[in-house]
Amino acid sequence: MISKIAKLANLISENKKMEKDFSSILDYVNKLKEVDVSNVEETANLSCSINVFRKDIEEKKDNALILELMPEKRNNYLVVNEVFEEND
Amino acid sequence: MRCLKKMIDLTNLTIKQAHSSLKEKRFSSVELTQAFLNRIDEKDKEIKAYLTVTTELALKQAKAADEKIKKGEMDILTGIPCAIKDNMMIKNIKCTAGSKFLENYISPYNATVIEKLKDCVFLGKTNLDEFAMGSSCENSAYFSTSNPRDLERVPGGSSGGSAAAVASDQCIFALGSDTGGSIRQPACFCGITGLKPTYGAVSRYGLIAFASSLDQIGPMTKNIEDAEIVFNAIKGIDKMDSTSCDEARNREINKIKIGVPKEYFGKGLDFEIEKAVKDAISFYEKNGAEIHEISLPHTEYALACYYIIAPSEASANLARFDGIRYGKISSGESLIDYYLQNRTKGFGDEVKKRIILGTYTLSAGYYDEYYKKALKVRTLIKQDFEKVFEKVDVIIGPTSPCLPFKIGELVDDPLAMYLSDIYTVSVNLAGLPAISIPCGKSNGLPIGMQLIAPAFMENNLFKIAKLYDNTRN
Repeated sequence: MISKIAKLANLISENKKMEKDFSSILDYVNKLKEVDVSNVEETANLSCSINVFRKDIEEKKDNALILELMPEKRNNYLVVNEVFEEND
Repeated sequence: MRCLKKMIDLTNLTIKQAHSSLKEKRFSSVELTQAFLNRIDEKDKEIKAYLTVTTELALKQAKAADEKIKKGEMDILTGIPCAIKDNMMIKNIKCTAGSKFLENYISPYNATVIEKLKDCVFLGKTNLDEFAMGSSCENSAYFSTSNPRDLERVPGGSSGGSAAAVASDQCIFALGSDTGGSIRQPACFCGITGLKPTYGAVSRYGLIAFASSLDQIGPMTKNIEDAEIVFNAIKGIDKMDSTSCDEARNREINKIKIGVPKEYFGKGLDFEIEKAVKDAISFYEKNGAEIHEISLPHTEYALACYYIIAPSEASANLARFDGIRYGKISSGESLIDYYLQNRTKGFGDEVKKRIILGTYTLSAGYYDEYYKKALKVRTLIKQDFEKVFEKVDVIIGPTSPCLPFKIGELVDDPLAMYLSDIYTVSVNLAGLPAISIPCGKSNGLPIGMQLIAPAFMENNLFKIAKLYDNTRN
């Protein structure tokens, strides 16, 4: 289930070594259960940043190199698989 | 013959030495660059530090640098040959991040650090563990790198290619990135200097993200003075990275107060490393420093905390690799199949393991138990440091608990591999600056010590580290 969310083929059940590694790491991180964190705030971000805004004007960028990287394109548009299937 | 001798000597220069020779026109940047390209040609067959050597770009930059020097427009880094870890973008140059996913990826723009170093000469891109996930360079999708001090051993990781390139005189300095120790541990293993700056001190724009709240770019150099020169060149606020800032703090130091955390000298630390680091601390004491035994009580939880937060952030950051806009490896019948095929084939095992771990710890049923809990433990780790820094100016301990291990020795034991970062991860969780410098050898293998300072006090870090280095040399 989890590997489906992560958009990886179902690796854990197919790969014994990965399964073993994964459970040993999970066991290890369970160590955190010992720590008392009542009344402790979370730290998600350490930056001293403030919101930065740019002027709301179009920025001309050179897209040639980005277009170059695209696996398939038509008239400078990226070609992708269809998102909706016929039954949808 | 004179010319040949000159070529041999050029590659072991420091930045300052090379700069004064360039200034006095003893040799040109083109000659210097050619000496390094020859050195790489001869030496990198056995070390394998470089993934890409950018000969054409290097010579073009060297010519431009020589023009500037001729006009008297040079600064300290003009024409200095360096190497860049292959997770930082140089426009028009391949950038793989050590992954098959980006085997054919050509950077469409320059990272901010590259813009800032544009008067240097870029010799090439160095090897790393895939997406900077690893401690040995063995997770590179391309090849392993050897430690120049002992070819059978790993150079450390993830910036192992950069460390090995500096240690084997294949560049004057290199850039690395550090998420949990990826600059300091390889610097320690290869016997060089490595600085992880304060979080926010250096822009991350153009660095391929691993864990955005932990990643920092920093210098890997032959001595402390060079690390300071490079740090001053790359630091500063950048409008392309909202977490960057211009802060620099100073603390007046009359008598240096050094904190020695008892938790950093416990079980699992190699005896020779313990002895070398304690000798270095005694050296400071003999030279007038005050030594305080301190405690960082949450140290034992730092690695577990890191292995929740870093994979969680990585699972989100690496969601962008889907093979659609770039990096196509495989096709698929449906869109979902396309994602699955590309991601399964594009990522290596270690990366997949961490993506799955991070997806798990962020998933609805486990978010509170793992991710949220880890963020709270992170606060406690940060507070441990804040309390200690009320009393001391710097914390000194070992960089790594073990000496460089043999290639292949730990690949079947991921936890043992992770433990080699036990003294470095806390520093990233707390966002502090830390430097690893050599402090001895055991059977010819380098030993490193880590100096940690309060946030934005890199200046004090350099000052205190230099006291040890200058007197010893």
